[in-house]
Amino acid sequence: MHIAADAIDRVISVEMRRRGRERGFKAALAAVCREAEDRPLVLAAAEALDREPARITIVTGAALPDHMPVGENDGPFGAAVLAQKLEKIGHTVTICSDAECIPPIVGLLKFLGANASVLTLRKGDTAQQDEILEQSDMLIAIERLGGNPNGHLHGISGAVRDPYRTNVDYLFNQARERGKRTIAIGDGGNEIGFGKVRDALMAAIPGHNQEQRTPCGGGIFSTVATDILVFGTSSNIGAYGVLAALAMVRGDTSLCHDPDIEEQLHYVGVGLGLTDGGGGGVVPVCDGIPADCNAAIVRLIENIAIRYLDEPKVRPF
Amino acid sequence: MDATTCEYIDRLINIEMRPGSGLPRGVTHQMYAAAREAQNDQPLTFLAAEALIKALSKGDHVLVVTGAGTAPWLPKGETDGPMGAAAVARALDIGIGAKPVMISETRNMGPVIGSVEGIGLAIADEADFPKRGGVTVAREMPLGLEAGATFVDAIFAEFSPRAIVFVEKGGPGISGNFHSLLGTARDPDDMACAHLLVEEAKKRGVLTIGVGDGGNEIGYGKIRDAITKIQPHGPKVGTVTETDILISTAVSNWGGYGIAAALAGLLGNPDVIHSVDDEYRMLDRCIAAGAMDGLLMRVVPYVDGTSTPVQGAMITMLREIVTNSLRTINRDF
Repeated sequence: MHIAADAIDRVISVEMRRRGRERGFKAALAAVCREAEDRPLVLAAAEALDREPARITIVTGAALPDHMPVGENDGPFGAAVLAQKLEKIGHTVTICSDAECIPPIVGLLKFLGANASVLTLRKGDTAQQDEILEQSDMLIAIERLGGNPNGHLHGISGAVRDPYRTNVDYLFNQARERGKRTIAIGDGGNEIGFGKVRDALMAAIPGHNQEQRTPCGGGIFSTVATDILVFGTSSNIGAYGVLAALAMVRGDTSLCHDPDIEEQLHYVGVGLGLTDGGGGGVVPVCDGIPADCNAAIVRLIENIAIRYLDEPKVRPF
Repeated sequence: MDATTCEYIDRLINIEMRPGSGLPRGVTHQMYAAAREAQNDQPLTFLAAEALIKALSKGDHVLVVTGAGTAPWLPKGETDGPMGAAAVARALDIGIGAKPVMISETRNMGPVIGSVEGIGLAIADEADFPKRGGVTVAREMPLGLEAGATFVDAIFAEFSPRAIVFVEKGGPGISGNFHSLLGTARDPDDMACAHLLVEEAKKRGVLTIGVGDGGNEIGYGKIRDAITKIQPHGPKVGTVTETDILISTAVSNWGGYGIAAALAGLLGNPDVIHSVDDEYRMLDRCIAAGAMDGLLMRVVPYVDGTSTPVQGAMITMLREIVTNSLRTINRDF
């Protein structure tokens, strides 16, 4: 199982970016995350999710006025697919996001036939986060920004996002204090979860923190840690990797995400106004990678799980 | 296109996803790490593509050697090898205008020809081969050391190759025998002794590239010490034959595709790596000619235990990596 799960960790972290943006850092991020865990990252997350029916809260969503008015498609796809599959194994799922991001998330859940409820986050409302905590046994952040040492949220290039996103640092920090399991899935280092490996990131790829581009000088790396941190080339892909590992843990390949559904999600997402965070268009592309290529990654992930669960065929020579 | 892009390619083609089949698992990334360490820690596909571009000009001959497996299990060879070899041949034809010569055993030549035709290279007759692109010729290498040596002399005399690429081509172990990964020995009299091509190439300063996935294939002599430690039967099966460049990969075909992708990027021409439709046609033709999946041992559209859509997914991702390396994104927020 570790060998197959390690293969999933590798395939979900293959970088494929275009020129013109930061390139060549994802392998280092993946390695740092893996070193912080004693087992493959997707396996650690899957084992945590393989539990008695629980109330699981997923936080996602990244909207930006003018550029990504109802948010980007990285995060919501993964959250909705995760919700659909977690329901299959008996969990009750709530997806939380900022007000702008809620309608497309509802649309994705409807497309997938998932029953998860949604909850609109209110900026600066700590009491609401306490309430969410009380109603959750477990929390998952997918592509959700986390504060830097000064508590500020930043995009990957250093731009401040505080005015546009509910800060959920309190929710995740409190969850750990109260002994509730937390999982984060991210792809950049600026999201909830990367606090777990912040020191190691500063040592491995200090330039990626970009202090000089963040007005407060604190850089983009998040200080918010989770129990488990999964790294993906996009956060959606990270979530699909976790599901494949869950399929292996439970011996049920139907828990894998489906490559055809993955391709369709991109087009459904366009209809719902979701933006490609890579290029900034409302197009069937996620983090700069087109639908068919993301479906291809899902195909490889699924194959690893299926091959792992296959009856062994022993070659006699 | 740069070395970073080839890091992506290397990483993708080294995802191990074969089924539990009695063959060792969890070894792919260890072999890759050893191969990299032995080659200045450079991306392997970058090294191979760069060397091929340097060595080959339009009209130069390149030998592409493949074919693994013996009766009764794999009487016409396996799907892993011929397709990767065909992809390299096609890439060198389209990208550089080099003239690929396909070499394999008589028993494996059907699937090799099926693969090259499936991916869009015609088998030409002697007269037409030098006159046009889009074609290749096939040469059957006889079994055994003695006949092999005569063949090597003849092939060098006929083509004066400037480079030789071996894809999933067995090389002898320290005993002189060939071996399956699980240690089953095969006498040189039953095999094409393609390592003789390497020896001749070394004498003449001709570039050699080995692509493999187990440690028993031509090329792995470069990291034989590591293979003896990584592979359970390593001391016995690890080949002694070393090439100038070794590409260690999860499935040998993917190593060939990785070379094609790296060539596409370095040459700035995405068409140098074949399409998903090409891949499916090629796999169909390869098994129609009798090649079997090397793990399942049946004439099914699988490669080393991985399905047809997985091959398509691999090509989709490689093409995406290549096209992304050739265009610049402009996001201003």
